[in-house]
Amino acid sequence: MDNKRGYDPIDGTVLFCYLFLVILGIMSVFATEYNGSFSSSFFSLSHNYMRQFIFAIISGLMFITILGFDRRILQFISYPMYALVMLLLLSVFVFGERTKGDQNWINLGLFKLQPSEFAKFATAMALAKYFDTPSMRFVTRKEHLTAYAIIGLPLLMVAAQGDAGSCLVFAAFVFVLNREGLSELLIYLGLFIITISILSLLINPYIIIAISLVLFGVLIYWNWLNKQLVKILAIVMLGTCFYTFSVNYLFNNILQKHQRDRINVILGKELTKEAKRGIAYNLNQSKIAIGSGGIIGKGYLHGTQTRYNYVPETSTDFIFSAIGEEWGFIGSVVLVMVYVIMLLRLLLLAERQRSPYGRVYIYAVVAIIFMHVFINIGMTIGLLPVIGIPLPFLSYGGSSLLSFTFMIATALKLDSERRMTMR
Amino acid sequence: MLRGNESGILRKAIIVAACMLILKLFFIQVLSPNYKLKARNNVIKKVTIYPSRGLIYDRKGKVMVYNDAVYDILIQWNLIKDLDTLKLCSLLNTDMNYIRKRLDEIKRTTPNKPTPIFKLIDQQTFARFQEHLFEFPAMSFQIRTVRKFAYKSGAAVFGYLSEVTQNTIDKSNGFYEPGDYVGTTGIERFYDSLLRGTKGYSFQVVDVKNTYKGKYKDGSEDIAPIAGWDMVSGLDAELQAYGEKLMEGKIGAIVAIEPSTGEILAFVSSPSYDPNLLTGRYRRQNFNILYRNANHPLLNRPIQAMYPPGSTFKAAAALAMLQENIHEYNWQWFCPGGYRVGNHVVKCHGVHAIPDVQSALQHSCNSYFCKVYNDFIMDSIFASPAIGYQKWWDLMSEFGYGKKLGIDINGEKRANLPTVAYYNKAFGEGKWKASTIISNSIGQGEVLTTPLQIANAMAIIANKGFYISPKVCQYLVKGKDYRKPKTEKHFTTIDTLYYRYVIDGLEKVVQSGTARVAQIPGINFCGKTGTAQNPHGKDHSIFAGFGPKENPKIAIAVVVENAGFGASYAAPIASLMVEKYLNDTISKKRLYLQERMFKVKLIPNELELEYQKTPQQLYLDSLAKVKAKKDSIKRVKYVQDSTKKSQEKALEEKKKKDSTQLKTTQR
Repeated sequence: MDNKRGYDPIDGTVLFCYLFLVILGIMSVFATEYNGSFSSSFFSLSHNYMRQFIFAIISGLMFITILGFDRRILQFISYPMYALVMLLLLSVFVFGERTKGDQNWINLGLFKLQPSEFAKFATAMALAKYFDTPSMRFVTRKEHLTAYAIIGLPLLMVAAQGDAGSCLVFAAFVFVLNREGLSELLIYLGLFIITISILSLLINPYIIIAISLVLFGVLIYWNWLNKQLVKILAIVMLGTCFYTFSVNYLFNNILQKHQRDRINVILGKELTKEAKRGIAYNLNQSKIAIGSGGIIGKGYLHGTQTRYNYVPETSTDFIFSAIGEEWGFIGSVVLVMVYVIMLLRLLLLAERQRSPYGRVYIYAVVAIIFMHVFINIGMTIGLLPVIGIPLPFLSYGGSSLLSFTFMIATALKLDSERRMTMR
Repeated sequence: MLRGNESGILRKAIIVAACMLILKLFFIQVLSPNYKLKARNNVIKKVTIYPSRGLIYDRKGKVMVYNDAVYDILIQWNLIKDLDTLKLCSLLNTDMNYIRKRLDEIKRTTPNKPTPIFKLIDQQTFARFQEHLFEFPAMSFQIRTVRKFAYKSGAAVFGYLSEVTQNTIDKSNGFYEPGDYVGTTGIERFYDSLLRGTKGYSFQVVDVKNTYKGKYKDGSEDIAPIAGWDMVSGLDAELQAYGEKLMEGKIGAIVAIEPSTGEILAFVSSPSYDPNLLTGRYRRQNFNILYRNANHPLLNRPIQAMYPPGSTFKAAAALAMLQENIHEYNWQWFCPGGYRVGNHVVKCHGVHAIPDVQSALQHSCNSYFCKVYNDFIMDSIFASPAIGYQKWWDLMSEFGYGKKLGIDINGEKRANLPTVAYYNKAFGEGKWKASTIISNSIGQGEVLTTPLQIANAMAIIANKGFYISPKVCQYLVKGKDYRKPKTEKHFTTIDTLYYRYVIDGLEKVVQSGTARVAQIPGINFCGKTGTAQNPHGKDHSIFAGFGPKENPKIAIAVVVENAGFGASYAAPIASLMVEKYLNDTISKKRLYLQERMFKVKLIPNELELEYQKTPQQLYLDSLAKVKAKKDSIKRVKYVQDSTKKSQEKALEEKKKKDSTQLKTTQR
C-alpha cells in the first residue's frame, strides 16, 4: 500500500456501501412512482427518480472533485464554509419557505436548497478544524465553550426553524465531544432525562418521584463514604423530582401540537381526531406496508401500499416503507447491516487518523449518519416518534444526497492522505 | 497522541440501535400476521359480479322470462368536483331533491367508495347518460340485470324480485348482501336458491383514492359467477297470455292443469298486471299503485282466494254417493223444485224428473244432491250423523278439498272443508244432523275452495282416481345437470267404474245441460257449471271441466267473481281456453264468443288506464303531483284540473257503461 507520496487508495468498503445505497435509493424512488407500465415520458424530469438520478450524477462529479482537492484546501475552507452556511441558515428566516411547519427551504428557482443539510457537513468540518488547532487539549473552560458554540449555533437556528430532526442530529455531536474527552456522564444524563420524560408522560409523577427517592436513597446509603458521589446523587435526585413535575408543562407548552401528537402516537396515548386521521393513520400505513412485506418481501416493483400512495411521502422520509414492503425482513436487515458496516468501518478509519482533524471530522460524520438512520428507520416502524428527517443516500432530495456525498467523499479523501500529516 | 475513549460510546450506540431496529422489524415483519391482512384490505377491492338468473321457458320451449341489462350509476363522494346536478336531473329524469338527499346519505355512509346513486337505469336512459359520463369524473357504473317478461303475462305465477331485507340477509349464511335482489313471491321465490346462481368476485387493486389500478394477481384469484338453473315450466305461454286477456276487466282466476302430470298449463289471477312493472327503476312506485288498488291485483287468486265451489262440488258428491252405495247410479228422483229442510227450502232450477245420476249432474239438480247428502249422513249403517259426516268428509278430502295441494308457489291457502270437530264446536256434540248443514251438499255453506283445488278435483275425475301434486316447474337444467321437482301421486279410494258414470254426466252437462255454450266442435269437453252464492254481491260464475273426454289433456277451473251464472262467463272462458290449448285456434263459429268475452268489463277500467302508461310516465305523474303541491297557486289549479278531469272521466265511463249495457240487453 505504501507509495512514495504517502497516498493510500480510498477505502473500498465505504465506497462500496455508498454506491450500494445511492443505487438502491434511485431504485426505490423509482419503485414508489412506477405505475405498472413504461410510458413515453419515462425519462421526463418530472419524475422524481429521474431527478434523483441527475442528483446522483452531480454527486458523483462532486465526489471526484473533492477527491481531487488537496486536504489542506479542505482544512483551509472549513471556517469560511461554516460561516457561509451559517449565513444561509440565517437567510432561511428571511427567504425561507415553510413545509409542514418546518421552515428550512430556500427556493432557488430551479431547485430548493435545504441549508440545514449542508450545515451538518460544515459544522463537522469546523469542529474538526477547531480540534486541529495545535494548542487544543479540550480541558479549559474556554475550549469547551468554543466547541459547544460551534455546535450550538446551527442547533439553535434549526431549532428555531422547527426542524426537530436536524436538532437531534446536532445533539449527536456529543458523541464526538465524548470521543475527545467529554465525560460519558453527559450522554448517560441525556438518556436518563429521556427515560424520565417518557415515564412521567406515561404514569403519575408522584409514583416516579417515590421510586426515584427510594432508588437514590439506597444508592446514597451504599456510597455514603464517597462524599463527592453522594453530592452528585443528591443533586440528580432533586433534579429528577423537579424535572418530573415540569415535564408535562414543557410537553404542553414548548412542543408544537404536531410534535405532541407524534409523541402521543408512539406512547399509545389517546389521540385527537385530527391526529388519528393524520399522523396515526400515516404511521399505521407505514407499519402495514413494512409488516406486509413479511420475510422475503413482495418483490421489487410489487409493493402495493407504497406504490398506491397509502403511505405518505414514500419517496422522501418514508422511503424505508417501500424497501421494507418490497424486500421484506431479509432486505431490511441487509440494509441496516450495510449502514452498520459503513459506520463501523468509518469509525475504524477515524481511529487510524493521525491528525485530530481527520479523526474528529470522520467521527462527526459517523454520528450524523447514525442519527439520521436510526431516527428515520425507527420512525417508519413505530419505534420512535415521527420526525421529518431523510434516510441518508436513499431518500429523494438533492440537498440531502449532495451533503451526504460531501461528507463521505471528504472522509475518504482525508483517510487516503492520512499519513501525510505526520511527515 | 490518541486521547479520550478510544473504543467510543458511539460504536456501542450503533450496535445497540441496529439491534433495536432489527428486533422491531422482526416483530412487525415476521411475527405479526395482521399487517398482511390489513394491507390486503387496504389495496384489494372485492367487486361482485352478479350471475345471470335462470331463464324460464314454457312447455314448448319459448322463453317466457329472461334477463335484461340495466345499470347502476355510482358516485364516489370524495371525488366530486363541481357536480352539474341540473344536467343529471334532465339526463336521468329525476329531481334535485332526490339527488341532494341521496348525496347526503352517501356522504354520511360511504364517502370513499363508489356508491349507487341511481339504481337500475334502463338501457335507453343509460345510453343517453353515457355520452355525458366524462363530464362527471366522480361517477361510474355497474351492470346489473333485471327480469323481463316476454309475454307481459304470468305475474301471479312468476312473482317478483325485491331488495333483500335484513332478516333474509341474516338467514342466508352470507349469500345475500344489502342491495341484492331476492325472489319474493311466485316461483321466483320457491326456486330462488336454484334460479339465482352463485355470485362471482373480481379482486381489483385500488390506490388510496380508490381508483382502479389493475387486477389483483392478474385475476388469478377471481371467482367467476355461476349462472342459475334454467327452468322449463309446464306453462303454455300463449295459453297464459290468452287467459289473461280473456279475464281482462273481470275479477277471478283460471287454473289449467295437465291431468296426467299435474303440470300447470295456465295460472291466471285477475285483475292481472304486466309483470315488467315490478322490475327495474320504478318498481317501488308501481308496487305502491298496485298495492293500493281496490281490486287487489297483488292477491294470488288461484291459490289464495277462497270461493264456495257451488255446483262444481256435485261431481265429487256424486262419486261419494256411488262409492258408499247410498243409491245406485240409476236411482230415480223427482224434483219438486226444491228440497225442504224444516221451514227452509233449498230451491232448484225447476221441476224435473231425474232418472239417473248423469241427469242430475246435467241439470245440476239441487234437491237430488240434497237428498243424496241427507241419505249419506243419516244412513242407518252409521251410528250417528257425525260418523256419517266423517265418512263423507274422508271421501271429499281425497279430492284435495280443504288441504294444501303442494303447488310450487308460496302462499297456498288450505281453504275449508269443515270437519266434524268444527260442527261439534259450532252446534254442540250430537246436536246437529244432515239437515243442519245441508248447504254443503251443493257446495255452499261452510265449504270454501281455491280455484286450484277446483281444477285439481277435475283432474282427478279426468284421471279416474288420482292426482299428481300440481307443479309449475317441469324440470330445471344447468349444463348437463337435470333436476325434477318431487311429484307425489295421490289415489282416491273410489272405484274407477263410478268415474265413468260421472264423466258421462259431465259430458252431458256440456252437450245438453247447463253449459251448452261451452261446446267445442270436434272435442268432447266435459265439465260442470257452478253458481256460487256469496255475501259480496252477485253470484260467482264458476266452471270446472276437462277435455277431451277419452284422453284428457287439460283440466280447467274458471272463477269469475260476481258475474252471475256459471254458464254466462266461466263456461265460455273455460271452453275458449280448452279450445285454444287443444286446437291452437278458435273456430270461426265461436269467434263471437271470444269477442264477447274480450269486451265485457265487469270492473271499472281505471286500473287498466294506469297500466297503459309507461312506468316512466307514472313516475313523472307522481313527480308532477309532488311539485304541484309545493306551489299553492299551482296546487289550487291542480285540484281544479284534476276534479275536472275526474268528472270528465266519470262522464265518459257512464257513457261507456250505458252503451255496453245497451249492447248486452240487445243480445
